[in-house]
Amino acid sequence: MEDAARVAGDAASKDPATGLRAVWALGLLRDELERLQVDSARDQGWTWQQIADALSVSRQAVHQKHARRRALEAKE
Amino acid sequence: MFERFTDRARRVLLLAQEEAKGLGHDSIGTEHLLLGLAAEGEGVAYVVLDTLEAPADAIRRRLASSEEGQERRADPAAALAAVGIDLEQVRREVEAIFGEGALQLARALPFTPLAKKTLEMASHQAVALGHNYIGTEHLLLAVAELTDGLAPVILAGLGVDRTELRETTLGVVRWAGELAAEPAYAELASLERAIPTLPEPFRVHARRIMSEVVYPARAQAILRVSRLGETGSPQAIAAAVATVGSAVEEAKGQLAGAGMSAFLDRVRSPLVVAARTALDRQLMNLGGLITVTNVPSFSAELLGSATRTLRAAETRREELWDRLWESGGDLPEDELVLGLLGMIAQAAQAALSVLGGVTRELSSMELPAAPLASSA
Repeated sequence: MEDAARVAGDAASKDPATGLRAVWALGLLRDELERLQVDSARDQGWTWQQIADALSVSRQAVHQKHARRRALEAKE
Repeated sequence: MFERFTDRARRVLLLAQEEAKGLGHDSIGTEHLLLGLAAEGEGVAYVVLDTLEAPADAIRRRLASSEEGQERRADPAAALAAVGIDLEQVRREVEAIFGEGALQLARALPFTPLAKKTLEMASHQAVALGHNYIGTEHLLLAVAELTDGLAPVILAGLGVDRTELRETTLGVVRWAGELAAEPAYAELASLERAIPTLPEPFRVHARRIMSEVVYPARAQAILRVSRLGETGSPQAIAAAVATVGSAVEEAKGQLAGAGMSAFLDRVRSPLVVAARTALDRQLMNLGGLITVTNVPSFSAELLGSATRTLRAAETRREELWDRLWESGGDLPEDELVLGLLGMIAQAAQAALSVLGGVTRELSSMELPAAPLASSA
């Protein structure tokens, strides 16, 4: 965690490399959390519309992103 | 794009992915493809790289210490710490709800553009050799063509000459083809076809026996024969082939010791082989339907039904092998064959129903009036 503390200090340096890398990692984390939560919601019987409303996106968008993936994982 | 890849070539791609992740890199480059080829442990590419003294260990070491490798490092934990997020804490919270290992950043790393191009080049290599599949040999030939990327740097560092790499690969390919007709090889092929039917723990055991006993002997034989080449005496070639025969016998002995012989005899009986082959084809058809329905024009529901059908059929097949295994290979042959035929019928019916869905959805699509005219 010493490493992490050092990098946290770097954030204040306004170095674009550090900032952009953080944005990249946030994207990964965001996508993974969405995957887990959408799967969990579907498994609990949520409709695509309910999931879309909660994510503030269109039903088509969430369906396009997850329905095909879940179908390939034999989850739908 | 991977339909024509052999099982071994697919495994190379998976290994490349794992190696890239293991090294903490953020994408799969030509260097990871090379490492995957060397680590695969069975195919032509492995035989060649092992002979030219470019084993997986050496490649991995070079990669871990190379500067280009460092640039590709991806450490999400450090990057998130920069904006005050403790990834380990997030992981603990998520895994408390969704189970251990649930949170995986970067599930599938992307291929670099050059690695993608290398995969295309492998397909061209296969076409040039008149092969209708893409195997590890074609991937290696494509890697040998590269002048950019990290793979050529690593190969040069290990003292592997590109021309020699190409020629050795072609030699092994030619002789592997010639040797395939030898009885020892036919026996080996029959064993290889039986191994996937073994229940899980024994399959792993059998694969290990094969890679410890049989594959090194085969690699050596192919290599010796390809070096003897056209000038080698028939006796010398026969002697090299004989070493494969005795390795196969040795492996069979070890498999029998592990209690597998009754089981293997049953799954290799001609009638069961015929039914298994027919079932495999049927399941391949279902696999083809997954490819077809995995086009965005078709509904996810259709894709889901194709996938579920295939998974269910595979599970039923596993269950049959488990039953055979538990009976100590003593399930009557007719029961086994009838079981397999029943699965074929079910799979065929399921395939028909998916095809029906495909037809229905196709007929409701608005296809362009003259699709060919626009491409002219």
